[in-house]
Amino acid sequence: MKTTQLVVSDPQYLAEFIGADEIKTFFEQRYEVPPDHLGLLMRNGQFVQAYKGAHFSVGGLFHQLKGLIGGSSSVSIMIADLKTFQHYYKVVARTKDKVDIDGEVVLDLQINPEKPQNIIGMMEGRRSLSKADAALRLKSHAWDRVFEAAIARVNANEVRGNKGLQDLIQGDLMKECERLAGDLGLIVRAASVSWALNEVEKAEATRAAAERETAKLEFDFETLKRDLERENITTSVKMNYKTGIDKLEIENEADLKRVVLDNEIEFADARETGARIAEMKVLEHEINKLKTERLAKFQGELQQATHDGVDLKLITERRRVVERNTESLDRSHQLALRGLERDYDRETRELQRDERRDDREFDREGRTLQRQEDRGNRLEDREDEKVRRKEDRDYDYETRDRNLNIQGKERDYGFDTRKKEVDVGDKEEYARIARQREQDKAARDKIKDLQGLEMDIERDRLDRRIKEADKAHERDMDQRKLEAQREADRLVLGAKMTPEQILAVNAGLSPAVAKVLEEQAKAQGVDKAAQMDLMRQMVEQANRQAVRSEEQARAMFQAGMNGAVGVAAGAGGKGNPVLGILAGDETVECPKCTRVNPAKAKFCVGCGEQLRK
Amino acid sequence: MTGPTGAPDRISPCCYQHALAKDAVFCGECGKPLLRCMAYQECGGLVGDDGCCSVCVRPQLFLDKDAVTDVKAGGVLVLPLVFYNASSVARPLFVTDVWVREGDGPRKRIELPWKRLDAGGSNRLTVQTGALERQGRHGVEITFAAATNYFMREERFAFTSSLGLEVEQGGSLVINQTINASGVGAGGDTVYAPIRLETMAESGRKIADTGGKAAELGLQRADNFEAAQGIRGYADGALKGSVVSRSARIVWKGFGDHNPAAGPITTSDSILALGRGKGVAEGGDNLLQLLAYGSDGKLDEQLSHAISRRHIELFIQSGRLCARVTGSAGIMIGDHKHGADDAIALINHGDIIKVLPKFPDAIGLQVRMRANHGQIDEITITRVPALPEANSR
Repeated sequence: MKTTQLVVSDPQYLAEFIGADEIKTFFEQRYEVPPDHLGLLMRNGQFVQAYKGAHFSVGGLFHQLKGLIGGSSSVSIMIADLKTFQHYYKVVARTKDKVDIDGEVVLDLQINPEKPQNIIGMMEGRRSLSKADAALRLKSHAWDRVFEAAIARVNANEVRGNKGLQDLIQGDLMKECERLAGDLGLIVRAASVSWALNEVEKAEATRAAAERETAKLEFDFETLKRDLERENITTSVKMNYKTGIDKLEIENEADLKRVVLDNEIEFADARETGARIAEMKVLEHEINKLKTERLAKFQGELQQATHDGVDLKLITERRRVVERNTESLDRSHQLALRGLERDYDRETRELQRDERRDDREFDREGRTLQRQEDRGNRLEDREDEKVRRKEDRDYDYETRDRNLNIQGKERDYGFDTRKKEVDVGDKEEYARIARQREQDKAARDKIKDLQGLEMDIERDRLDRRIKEADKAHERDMDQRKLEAQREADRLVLGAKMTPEQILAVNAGLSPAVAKVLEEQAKAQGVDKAAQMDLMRQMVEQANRQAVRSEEQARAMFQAGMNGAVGVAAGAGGKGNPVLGILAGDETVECPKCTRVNPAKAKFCVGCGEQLRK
Repeated sequence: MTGPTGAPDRISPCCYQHALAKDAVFCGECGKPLLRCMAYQECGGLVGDDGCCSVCVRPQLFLDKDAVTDVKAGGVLVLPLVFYNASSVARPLFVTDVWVREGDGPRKRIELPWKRLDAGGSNRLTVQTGALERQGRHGVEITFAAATNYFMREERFAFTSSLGLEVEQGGSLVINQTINASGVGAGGDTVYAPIRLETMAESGRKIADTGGKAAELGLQRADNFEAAQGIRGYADGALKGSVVSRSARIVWKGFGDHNPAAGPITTSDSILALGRGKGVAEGGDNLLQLLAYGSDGKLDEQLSHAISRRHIELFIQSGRLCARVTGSAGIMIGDHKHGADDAIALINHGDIIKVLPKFPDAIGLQVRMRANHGQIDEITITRVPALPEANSR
């Protein structure tokens, strides 16, 4: 018996009712529900059983008879597709940074195999339920709760590849679907969202593309630059350009060998050319150096030669001077010689004149000739004489040098001899002086003996006078020392004293009295100036009363105090007890300026007029 | 410890006694004028002709302990000096310059790192001699200039002290050692290496025997040096090198019946005040009342009012006659005007102090000085124009 497979009539359907008419046959019909489908058997509108992968038979005569006998029941079957199906939604959501993004949601849905009868709730009187209808039931409820809530948490550029976001969406979506469609027999197997490019991503992509483009351009530029540099530094490429062309034309191994050989030759030539250039440069440098050195040397020699030239000039000049001197000497010598010759001739002539005076008339012409002859002879003689004298002179120079040496030696010898003679003379003189001294001493002793007594007396007198003068000087010095010491003591004391005390000590009071007065002044004086004023008055009074000791000073103040207290008590007025003692002394008036002075004053303190002698 | 010596005239105690009276001008005992220190209000000291107050100005010079005073010929000596201010009235001294002179050589000025020397305080200065070549005794003279101030006024003095140094024979022996150095192919060199062998003294350098204390060097006033260096007295002009004596007589002329008595400056602050205010005789502060009179001999009140009550203060400072302008109108000396804010004007021989610069002919004081042997002992101040009363007499 043939088995009919019960499946949904359209793959888009999720569930479909199969009515009784479709399965009612005269004969029994066997039906099969495949494992991926579910068959829900309903009788009289009530769910009876769900079958998965079941076989069942419907109809037949027996069943018809049974229905006739026992009454009939309404039986229907609903077939539901248990396979997971996918549904796609378009979704638009707004991100955290307010960018609308598009996405596509994929939901994997399935009829819950545990509660398949719940799918009936979705049928709602329809014969069939499409997958899209089932999925759309979820969309309206879950959208805002899931997608908007999830997307609003992230920025536009964070949605892509965000696994956490996908998990969140899936979890929430499953939860919502469970809440909404759980009772309707639908379960969500999986959910995921794929996002379209949003504006931010587009911008980023554009920027990234631009950056990539820039990087590519940079890279191209760098590459080009490197190529250019390489081309620049690799001159061998240029040198081998022809070789490259040759390489292209290579046809056999022999050509290759030839090209390689040519290549090597060219390299060798290039190397040699380079080496030659280097050598040429070195040679050029050497030549330049040598040229410079030679030039410098030449200049140095030129300078040296110039310098030496000055010396040569000097030497030449000296030589000229010597030559001039020699010439002048020669000339003077010749002149002297001529003079002598003239004298000689004159004498000779005179003699001849005397001898021939009587023969004067004898052939004057002959004499003239004779004279001429004589003159010629004389000239010859003169020349001879010159030579002779020159020789003599040279001889004389040598002889003179020798003589000078000899004389020097003789002189040295003479000095030594003379020195010895002088020494001997000195010794004799010393001996004579010593003898004379002895004699003088003896004579002096004699005189001393005679004058000894007188001198002793005089010496004693002088000693006495010196001693007296020394004593007087010592006394004077002691006195001065005493004064100086006193002054020094005063100054030393002054260094440790206050200005008030110095005032008193300078005024002739003792330091002890000065101290008492200062105490009183400080006790009475209001300020420094007042203290000084008071001190002045007290010192004046103390001097007037000839206060010499501390006791006297204290007694003076005590008396003043008692008196002042008594007067004050009597008069009832105020008074300075210290100043009270200062009044009432004897005074004298200056006749010149009428100033009142102390009676003891010899001069007026106002005008300097002498008051008494 | 003593102060500088050499003061020409010591102040006798009688003068100090009579100076106690504020208005005393002369000593009642000896009749000498009482010349008070510029700081008499503080120190109560009197000064002599040289103007030096022994209470205010008491410098002392010491050679510090452990100072070496003996040196070998050819050596130099370092003298550690200690300057001490022994003034008992808390008056500081200002040591401005120090000179050192060796033997008859020139004086060498030493740069001072300090200047102020407070009372009771000491400052140190190290002085180095030159190389003492000759054996024997050498003299070193140390001279310094010191100043004391009191308000705007300053007195400068120079003090000197001599120090004897013993220079021993060097005891050195110089041996010229000849070293011949020669090498193969390098020729020969002869090196003369003088080696000095010195015999050390038995106890090394002698330290001045001061008993472990600084030795005091006696100080003396260097009055000649003061005049020559311009520390005191006039440094230029007709009276160059002359010093105004503190006891110089000041003679007043041309003031008619009001001519003050001639004499030195004996006021308690050693200042002579001149101005429109009343004179001392009439109970005022001024020595002399300056008033302007017309050509007819009548008082010109308007001009007189231009003269301040206390217009000028005359005093002797560092051996020179000086004027301090206190009047608002100022004064004019020669072509230079001195206002009230000017410090101190120096007055030379022949200067005319024009009391009213705007009316130079109204009243002037012509100053003439007479010097004897470098000492100016009389200053004549004549009023120009002289008062009619004076002319009539």
